[in-house]
Amino acid sequence: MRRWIENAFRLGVKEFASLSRDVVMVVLIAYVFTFAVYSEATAMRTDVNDAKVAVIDGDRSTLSGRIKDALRPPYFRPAVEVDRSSLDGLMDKGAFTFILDIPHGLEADFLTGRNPAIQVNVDATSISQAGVGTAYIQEIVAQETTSFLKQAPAEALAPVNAVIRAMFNPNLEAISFTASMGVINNVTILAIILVGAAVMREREHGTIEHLLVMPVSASEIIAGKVWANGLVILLAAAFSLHVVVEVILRTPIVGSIELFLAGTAIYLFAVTSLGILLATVANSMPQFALLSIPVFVLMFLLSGSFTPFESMPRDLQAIMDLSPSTHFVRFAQAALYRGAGIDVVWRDLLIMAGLGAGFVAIALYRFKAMLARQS
Amino acid sequence: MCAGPADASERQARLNDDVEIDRRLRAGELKFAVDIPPGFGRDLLQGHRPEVGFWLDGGNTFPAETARAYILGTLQTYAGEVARAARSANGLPAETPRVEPRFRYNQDFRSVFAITPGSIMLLLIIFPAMLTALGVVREKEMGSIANVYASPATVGEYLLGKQLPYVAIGVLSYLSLLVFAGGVLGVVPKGSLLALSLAAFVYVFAPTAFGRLVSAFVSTQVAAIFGTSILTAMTAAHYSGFLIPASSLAGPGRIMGLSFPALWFQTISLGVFAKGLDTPAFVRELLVLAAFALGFLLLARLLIRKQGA
Repeated sequence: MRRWIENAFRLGVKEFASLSRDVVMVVLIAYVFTFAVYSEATAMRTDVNDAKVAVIDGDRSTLSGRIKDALRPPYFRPAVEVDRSSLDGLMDKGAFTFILDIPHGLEADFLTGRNPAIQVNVDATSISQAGVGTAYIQEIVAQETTSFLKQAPAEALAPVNAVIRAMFNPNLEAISFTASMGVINNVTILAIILVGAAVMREREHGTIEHLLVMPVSASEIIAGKVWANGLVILLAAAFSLHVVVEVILRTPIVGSIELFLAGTAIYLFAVTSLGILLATVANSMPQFALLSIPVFVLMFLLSGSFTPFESMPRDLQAIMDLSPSTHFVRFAQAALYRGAGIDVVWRDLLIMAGLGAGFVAIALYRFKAMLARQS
Repeated sequence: MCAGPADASERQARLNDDVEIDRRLRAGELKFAVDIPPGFGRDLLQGHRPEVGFWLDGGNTFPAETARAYILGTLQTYAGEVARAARSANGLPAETPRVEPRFRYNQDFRSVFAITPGSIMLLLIIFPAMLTALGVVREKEMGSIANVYASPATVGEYLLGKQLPYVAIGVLSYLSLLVFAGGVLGVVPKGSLLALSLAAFVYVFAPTAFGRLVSAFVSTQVAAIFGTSILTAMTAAHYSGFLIPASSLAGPGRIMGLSFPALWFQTISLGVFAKGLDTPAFVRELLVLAAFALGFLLLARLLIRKQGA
């Protein structure tokens, strides 16, 4: 056992040496965990933000002016006035997501109870803004009309006083969520590519044969690659959370980063093993690249980090329960955002470890078969 | 209106005290909890406007926003009814102006029509770029690039020979994506097929040339795979008008978008698939795409020649 640990340790040190020689790769890893996390967190918004809106003001009344002025940041850019004849051209060019067409006589018709209509042209190809933005516009029109009549705002007329409190993230700031999910996705991609490619490279260069003539076993080779590459990613993730997310983006993390990193170590074990498994399936580096991309893309698209896991079809949920990323995202959301302790998250950690053991067993079996073929 | 994890029956979950609410929200069992205080019915009937507490799980912002919108929406609809009745009673016009949305280019508002053109844009930039980069870096890593340097082929010939096959693969990918989009997803181009095909042909030159450019910097295949995938996928997904409309991009995001071919092809792809536009609408985009292809190629050639010398 002592010998096994020593060998695995030395093989891991060899991994460090080969990674540190690849300067471009080191720079890329630094880039994804710093600048990329930052820009993704600040640019990616799930809410309607800065939507471009134009108004065709056919009425030029107080009411139409109020509606136009009420389309304001942060949801909308200040409304631009355009001409009716340019409507189709502007929509085709995608210059605006919304163009409001206010008819002549809006205010007069409204005051005499004729119930006029404002047409809103929505560019429905921008699905992130079209639906919610239309609802905002409807709300703004209703609000401006009531305040135009000097009536009290509708909320004051509600029979109850609703107090909505978002726990763990009072202002529902998307930044902290996007940033941490960015870190998680980077961990997944790197774990698969870094370790899988390390195996693939040795196969292509034939250096696996050098290892074979030495007194090391397949499990020691795998363990060396897993711990060394895993440690690099773990350190990068820790740096990213502490420095980029907490200090630079100034988003407080409620939970314990240490618990999160412990869970990440378990996750890395599972995903790096999956990377080795994929590398034993592929025959060349391009094959490995084409094979691993769909794997990690599905792993993070369907893991619950992009869309709520509960909203996916039940069958798909059952399949995705076999992916370590699903459990990792659930663990990370509980540990990082809700400050959950080990008493809440132990189950997901256990499942990740179990899946990792399964991947390692299959990878080891295939790895041995591969070595036998090559020797 | 309950966005509970299982279904609406979660509404019945009995939450006796704040500790229980806190524990179940923390464990992710509940997405939100409604806290009705004692004496609620009495206060309501006496017109005291009693408080109702809504506790959201703010951990994942998107479902929390949705839950909040539903809660507020329900309340506002009701308050709107009260306000309308009050207006009628005071002799004011009861109905506020109607807002009639016209969802253009995608009347049913189905996401597949908006996402498919973007997916084509993404796939046609990630894979050609990565494969081209790997094509060269592979020879670098294995050492067989020395044969090329020793051979009478010029750098230009070598580069073109290593790029054109991947352009062909890109064009084939485009054709199969087109068939898949039409046959399986039912998304067919409403506008000029010729414009789209021409654009796709010019477009795949750009990522293959970009792959070349990456190959000039990296020396290992791992770095080539990782580098091309993050550079192309991140820029193309975030700053092309795919997830956020191009008109809403501002600051550095806008500059990144404009200086990468993905945004320009996305405009054509959306324009042809969803908006039914014709070739003349895209002259500028086509020229810009051609400029990208040429620019990346010249840059790559410059860098690789320096290396070979």
